[in-house]
Amino acid sequence: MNRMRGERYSEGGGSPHHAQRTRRETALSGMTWPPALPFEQALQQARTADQHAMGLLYKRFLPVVYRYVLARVGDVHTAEDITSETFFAIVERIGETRAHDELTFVAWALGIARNQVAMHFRRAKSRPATQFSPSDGDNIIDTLVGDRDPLDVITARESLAEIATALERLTEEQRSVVLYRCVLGYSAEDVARLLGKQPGAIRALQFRALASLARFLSLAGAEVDEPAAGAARQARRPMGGE
Amino acid sequence: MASPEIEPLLEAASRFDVVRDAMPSHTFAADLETRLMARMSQAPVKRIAHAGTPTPRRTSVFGSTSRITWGAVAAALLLTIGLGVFTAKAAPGAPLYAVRQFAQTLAGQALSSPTADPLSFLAQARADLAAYNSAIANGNEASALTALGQLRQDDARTADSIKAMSDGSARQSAQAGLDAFRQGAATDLRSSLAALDWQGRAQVTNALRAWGDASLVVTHARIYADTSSGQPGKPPSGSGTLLVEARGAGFAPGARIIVNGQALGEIISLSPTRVVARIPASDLESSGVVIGVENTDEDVALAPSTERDDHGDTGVSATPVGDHSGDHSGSTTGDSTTGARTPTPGESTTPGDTPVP
Repeated sequence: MNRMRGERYSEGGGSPHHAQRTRRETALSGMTWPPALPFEQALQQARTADQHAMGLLYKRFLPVVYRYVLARVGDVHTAEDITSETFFAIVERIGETRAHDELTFVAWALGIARNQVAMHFRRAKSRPATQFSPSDGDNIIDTLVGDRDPLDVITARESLAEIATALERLTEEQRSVVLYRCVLGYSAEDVARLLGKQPGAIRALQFRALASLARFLSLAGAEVDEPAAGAARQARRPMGGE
Repeated sequence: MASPEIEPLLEAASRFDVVRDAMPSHTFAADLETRLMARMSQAPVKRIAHAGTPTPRRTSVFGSTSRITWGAVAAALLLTIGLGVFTAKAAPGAPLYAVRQFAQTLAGQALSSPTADPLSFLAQARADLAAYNSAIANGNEASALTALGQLRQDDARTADSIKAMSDGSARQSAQAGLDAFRQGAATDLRSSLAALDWQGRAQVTNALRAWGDASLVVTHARIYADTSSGQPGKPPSGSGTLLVEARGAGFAPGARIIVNGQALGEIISLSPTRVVARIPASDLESSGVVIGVENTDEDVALAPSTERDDHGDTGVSATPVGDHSGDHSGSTTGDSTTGARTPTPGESTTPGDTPVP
């Protein structure tokens, strides 16, 4: 079974350290689905409009879809809206999916999410720019703050927007690899299966994507590394290649 | 301790911690679950035959009637074709000439049936789409693209047969069915883009463009010397930079030039119909480079051919990649400059060009 990150939403309400610990425990246990009801069986029952099975799928994949969308749009409220639309589409079309295991189901669900994100960007392009209302910011902070330091929350908001902007500058392949590997925590082998490539190609894509991101995010050392990497490429090239 | 070369990459990866640890709020999660369950109880989930338990075969008397009818139709078609072949050389006035005319009339009527063809072609297109979605779900890109080719063929046949129909409610109904099918298919195709490589995405973009759901197209690409790089004359292969220009339509803000599927170099000029990038010559060394353009919405279009002018020669190298499906036939812009011309970086040769700093 594919190992991936993702907890039930009821487990993630604590501190970041708690979330990390929970995730690590989940990964170490190697169990991603209750043994009493295997994923394939839950999917089969969900196809027959079984609410219990659909609820299991929802709890299992809500964090996955939400994180994917959040990384793309960089805004909590928009991410929640798009996540809702994605799950309504999943419920609507669950009978049509040919998914047969967790990985193919995630590929299908994230395909829907990706489509919803693309529609969101298209709508945003055609819509005139609106003035940001201070109350919107209050709502966002209310949503995020919980028992955390408000300064942390504002920093997190800026980081989200920065990440989303940087991701948009990557190629589709690079973006997919970064999202699957760095955000959703899939193995290179799983991502290779998802994207129909070799694991080595996925690692190379991830390396290039992170190098580009470092450049876009203006991280120290990123600017000088690219010429150095170019020089290294030249040096590795066989003689007489020119 | 990571090496200095790797540190920025690790730092970039660590920026995703804020998303990796993100969880939706309890209120939102519980509310959405409630709404989803309410939706499930209100509307039955759409199911297809193979998704659940196998659908039993129909055993009604109409099944055997249908088989007999189709058998008769097939026999009649064979007879008509046989008659046509047998009487093909019959000259006017010969006894077989009347039979030949009769066979031709029958064949003409059978092939231009105004009511049956659109529906049957549309049914085939639906089956093609189902095969495409299945291949995507199973991660089989080759099968998916084969199904996509068949889907486009059957879609075109449906459209042609609708055009051949006489005006009326039947034609309007068929057209509405085709439009609804295309809308749903476009959604599926867009959803599948993430699962395809760049060549597959180019084929899907072509299909979407044919349906008016995408506007991106590249009609011509050119690689030429970058005279601003401080290397006048002919820069040796593998050193310095070259300029890559793509012409076409639908280039959106943020569009990038891709070389063999990879977005490379820096964009120095961008307009809806023209984009120029400065790219290291080492990335353009191979003779069969495929130039394309990728928009930020992940549409991809590839140039049908690439003109190289970086070594002094102006030969045009064909790059037979992907499926252009006649989309570019006759569409090469007449404004492509000769190979000897080398515009300076940032030069705006097309109205509306926006040099990128």
